[in-house]
Amino acid sequence: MDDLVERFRAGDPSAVRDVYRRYGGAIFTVARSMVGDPDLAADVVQETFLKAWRAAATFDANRDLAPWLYSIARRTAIDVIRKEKRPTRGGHGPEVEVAVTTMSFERTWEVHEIRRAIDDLPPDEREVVRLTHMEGLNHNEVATRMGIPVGTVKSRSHRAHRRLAAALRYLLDTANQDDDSHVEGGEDR
Amino acid sequence: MTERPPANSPDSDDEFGALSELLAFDNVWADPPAALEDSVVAAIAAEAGPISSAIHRDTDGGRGAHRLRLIAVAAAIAVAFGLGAVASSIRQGNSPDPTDTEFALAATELVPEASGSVLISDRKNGARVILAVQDLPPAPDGQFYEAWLRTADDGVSAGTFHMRGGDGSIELWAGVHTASYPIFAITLEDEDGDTNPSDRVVFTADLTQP
Repeated sequence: MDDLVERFRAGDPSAVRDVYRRYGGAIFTVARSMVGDPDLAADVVQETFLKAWRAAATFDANRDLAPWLYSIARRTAIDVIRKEKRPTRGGHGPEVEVAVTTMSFERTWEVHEIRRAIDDLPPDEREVVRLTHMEGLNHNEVATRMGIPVGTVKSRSHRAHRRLAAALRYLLDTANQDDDSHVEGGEDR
Repeated sequence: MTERPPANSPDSDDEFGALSELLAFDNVWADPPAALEDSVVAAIAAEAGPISSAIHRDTDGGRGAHRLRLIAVAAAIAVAFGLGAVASSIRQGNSPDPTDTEFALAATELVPEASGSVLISDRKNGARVILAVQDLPPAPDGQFYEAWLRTADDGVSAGTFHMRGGDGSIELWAGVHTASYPIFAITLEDEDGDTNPSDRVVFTADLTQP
């Protein structure tokens, strides 16, 4: 990881592909969560990596790339939303500032981190988690869909959720505390 | 007593509590378009290449507009007023640099209608600053604007200008690097010989946040 950060920080174009493969999924998740449209989300992702690359020389290699890329992506997404909502005006008049209501900072960080944790799962475990949560299938249904024994589904599910729990422990602690205190953010899916 | 979940049901919801709904969120699972990786790599490679290839490369509507504006700002250098150093910097070469980073300028209550951005890059002889501002009122007679690279306690001037010629691009230079002076500011100054910055700040930018 240190080498990757150094190469990216040095502006090495070949490091861009490595960084994209590591963080692109999570950045796309953030972008799509905020702008909705997949094409706009792709634009946000491209602009995010461009901005990050431009600023690479000033990036502190001791910092984690993920939060930095995330903050660039979020700001870029907000800019895109503003441009999409802004009424078109000709001439040299000042642009109309448009209020942007979007998913909260905390919520988009949660989806970012969940996506990263998911991307780190082995493919077979990832699929079990996807079918379980996104499609709402039980173990028997997952086994049928994947063509594997239900015992295999259970063991993969167990391992996957252990990994996710470890990766997302700090988020789980924070989220469950928020639930207990009934705090509601300004989130908007 | 804790109720055991059915044998064939997902074993995750109890543990993941509030995050379970995010695991069910479509966007968490959506993959970027397969071609996006190559597109990102190509966009960066084009930016790193010659200006002409970057200008002619993109025809994809608004997607390239922002990038083209950056190139236009950097390429259409307006000589900063009364700064001989700027003339010499032009002779040194002022093409866009891959390390140029654009920052949005935050206008203060002194100039609420104004907006703009600043391109900054650390070069071997200092920090090059290119301002693109809109609706910044011309400095009154006897006053001028001054750009600064600052820390919380200290600052170095990047040069002065007055905006009486209208909106446009202004190139400035500072004899320090942004890594050490990560705050950009523009103040309104009096022509009184005082070299310290006034407290009339019109624009700021955090150079650690592109």
